[in-house]
Amino acid sequence: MTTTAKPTVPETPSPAPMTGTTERIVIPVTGMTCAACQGRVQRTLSRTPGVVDAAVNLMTANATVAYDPGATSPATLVEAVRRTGYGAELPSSDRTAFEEQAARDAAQVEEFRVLRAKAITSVVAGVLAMVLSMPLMGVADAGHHGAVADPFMRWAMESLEPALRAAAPWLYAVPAPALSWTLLAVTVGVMAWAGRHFYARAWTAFRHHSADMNTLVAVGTGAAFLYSVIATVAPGFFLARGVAPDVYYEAVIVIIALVLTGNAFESRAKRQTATSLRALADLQPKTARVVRDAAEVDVPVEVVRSGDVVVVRPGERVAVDGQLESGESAVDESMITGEAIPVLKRPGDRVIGGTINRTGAFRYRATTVGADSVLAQIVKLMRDAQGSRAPIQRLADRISAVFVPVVVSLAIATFVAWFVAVHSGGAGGGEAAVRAFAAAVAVLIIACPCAMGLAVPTAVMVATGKGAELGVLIKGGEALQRAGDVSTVVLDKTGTVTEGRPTVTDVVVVPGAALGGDDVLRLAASLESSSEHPLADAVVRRARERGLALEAASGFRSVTGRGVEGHVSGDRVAVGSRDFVRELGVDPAPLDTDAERLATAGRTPVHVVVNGALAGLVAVADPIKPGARDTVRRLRQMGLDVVMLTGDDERTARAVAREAGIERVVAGVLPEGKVAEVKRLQGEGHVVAMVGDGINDAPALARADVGIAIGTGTDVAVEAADVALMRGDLAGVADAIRLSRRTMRTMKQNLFWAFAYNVVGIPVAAGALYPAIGLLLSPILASAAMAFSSVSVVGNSLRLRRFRGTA
Amino acid sequence: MLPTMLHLTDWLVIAGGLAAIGWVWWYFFLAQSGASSDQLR
Repeated sequence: MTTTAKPTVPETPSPAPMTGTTERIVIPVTGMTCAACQGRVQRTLSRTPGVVDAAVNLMTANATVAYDPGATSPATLVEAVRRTGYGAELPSSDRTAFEEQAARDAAQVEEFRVLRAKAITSVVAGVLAMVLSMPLMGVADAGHHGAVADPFMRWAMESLEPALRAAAPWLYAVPAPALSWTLLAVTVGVMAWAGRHFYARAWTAFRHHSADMNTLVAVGTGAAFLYSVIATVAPGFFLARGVAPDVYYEAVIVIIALVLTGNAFESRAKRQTATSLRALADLQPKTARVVRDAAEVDVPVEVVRSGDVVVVRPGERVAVDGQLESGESAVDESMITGEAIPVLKRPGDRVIGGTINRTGAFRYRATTVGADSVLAQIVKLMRDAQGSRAPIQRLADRISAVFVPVVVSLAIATFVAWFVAVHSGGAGGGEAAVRAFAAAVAVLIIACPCAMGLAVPTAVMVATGKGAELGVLIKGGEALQRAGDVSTVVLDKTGTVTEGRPTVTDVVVVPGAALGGDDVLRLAASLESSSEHPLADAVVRRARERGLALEAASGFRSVTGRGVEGHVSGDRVAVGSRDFVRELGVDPAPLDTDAERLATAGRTPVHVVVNGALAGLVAVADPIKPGARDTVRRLRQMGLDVVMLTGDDERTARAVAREAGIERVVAGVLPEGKVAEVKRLQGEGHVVAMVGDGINDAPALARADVGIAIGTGTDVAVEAADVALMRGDLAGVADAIRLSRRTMRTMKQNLFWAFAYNVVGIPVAAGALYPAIGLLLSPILASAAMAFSSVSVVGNSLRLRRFRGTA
Repeated sequence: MLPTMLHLTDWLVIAGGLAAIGWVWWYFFLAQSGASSDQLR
């Protein structure tokens, strides 16, 4: 376990008046073990003058503090944390997300290593203590010296005693006081080394009028230990009162061993929850091959600058983000976008650092490096998300803050009740005290709130990591919780349901005309190549795809919103709407049936006139994304209402919606109208997820309960979005909602089990079942149950790793 | 009926227990705010 180092922090001048500005800092905090510790650090920070907001995360072991730089300073905040008894240090600003992740990993490995060593040593010491205690039992029967007081230990040891007597008869010849004093020495050793942090932290907490899990362990084992010391040092004191001077040494050691074992398992499980994040950080290659003075040299990736030309061979990782200059290759981007099929990259295309080049070699120019790179941003975003708190966490926080004093009070009440019950039942005061004591210690030990503190953060951690693997970046616990509650999904049409890139779908020629389909397309494209219109781009692209030779147009004239006309190699060509054609004095009627059919199918028919005669129609449409229909069906199967919003006219919108399987359509909506529509749905009581491309939909994404930005693989930092999809397809929307629902279920299960465990465990430990069925928990069984509860909560969260995406 | 069966020791244990619980609540809840401002001074 991490020890609390306390180097001095420079004194800061007395606080200046508030400046009204707010800065944010993330302070790494060491030594927190449970929800109560976390609550304590958070309370202290919140009460520090100048602090606007403080959130402490147990899982990521850091405190995020918003403060007024005029009223306080990072050093003051660090000092405030240290005074609560936990370790804190100023974050180093020049470290990248990768280095921070590596440092955290190293610290976690070290924590696990130390905990494991302490747990194993304590278990060995526990076994040794049991062996040493066995001969004492016989002696104690003679009413002479301290035997084993813990009922469970007594039962276990009585069962093993004959075997020991046969195996090591010499042990029975050792004088009882020698055995007792040896036991005392072993116990002191275990408490002082393996269990020291429990006592040190409990004491620091106590001095600050606060209590946590360490308090419960320290008070429980401490009381048992003091009782045993008296029984060893002055057995006569007990014997004079008719009580056998029984000892709890092996119980103290075994309790410490079990709590440490639980902590060690928990530490390892916590490390596993960050597996996805670690895998992401590991994607960053260490070196890059750059072109310097016409030669290729390998340099550390840190020295690559924006503008450097980087060379990538097949099978190598792309070192930094950039734009391809020469060469062509298929690049596997699955680690970033979740897209399983390698993506073909040509000159001009963007490549992302950390992806794997599969087939060809290429050169590209570095664009973003270091902390600005896509991968570094994803890692940072994930770290922030994993450190964030889900609102449901507040329930656990509120309870854990009052939990320990309540438990200590219950333990005292248990002692009193047992004492009075046993004593008034005719037993001696000594026997009454021993039994009351065991029950009170069991209450203290079983009540550790660790499971409560882990219930929510472990689930957030695993779920956000799993999301990242699937190309779904969920920006924190709050987004996760809201996404789980979504009832209506609003899809923007262009770029979300559709490709966002108009494409020529049909070319129709006038029956009996001299010109063929390719002629009509070639002439229209030659003219349109002078136009900036998105539909023109589609026509030109299609002509090029068909290998048609385009010619330059002359006398080009554009009528905004209607069409264009000009001369192409001697032919007079006009391309435009039906109205535009009529204005030119050409009758569009021969193609009216076709135009109507295409428009009903959601395509935009463009009329082509050559030398004053109608030549044909080119239909342009924005095709729906492959898989959009499947996703819409899946969303509806999940019980969600799906609504499509678009600025297009009703007819086009309906056609697209029909193709995608969407029933509710709101057409003719301006960008600001999208916000109003989201508001209206919210007003009807729906929890709305808005899915858009994050650029022109930003206000609607921000307004929605959950904004989902559908990405191109590089738009990680879409500010307005709560969820960013790394892939362009819609499947991520269903994945995000499914994952969030499942995570919420896991959190609720975790909280239920953590609470249920305490609600059931405490009365049982207090002896509530004793009058009915004679059941009484030994402190040792209580500590085993406590360790088990933490491990089971973390294990339940880890089940989220088995979540499978739909793609 | 119960009080008549209780021995003086029982009464002492009950009184001690109540006092201990009272002290715990006072120490962790009522005395807390004062301590925090001390701590930050």
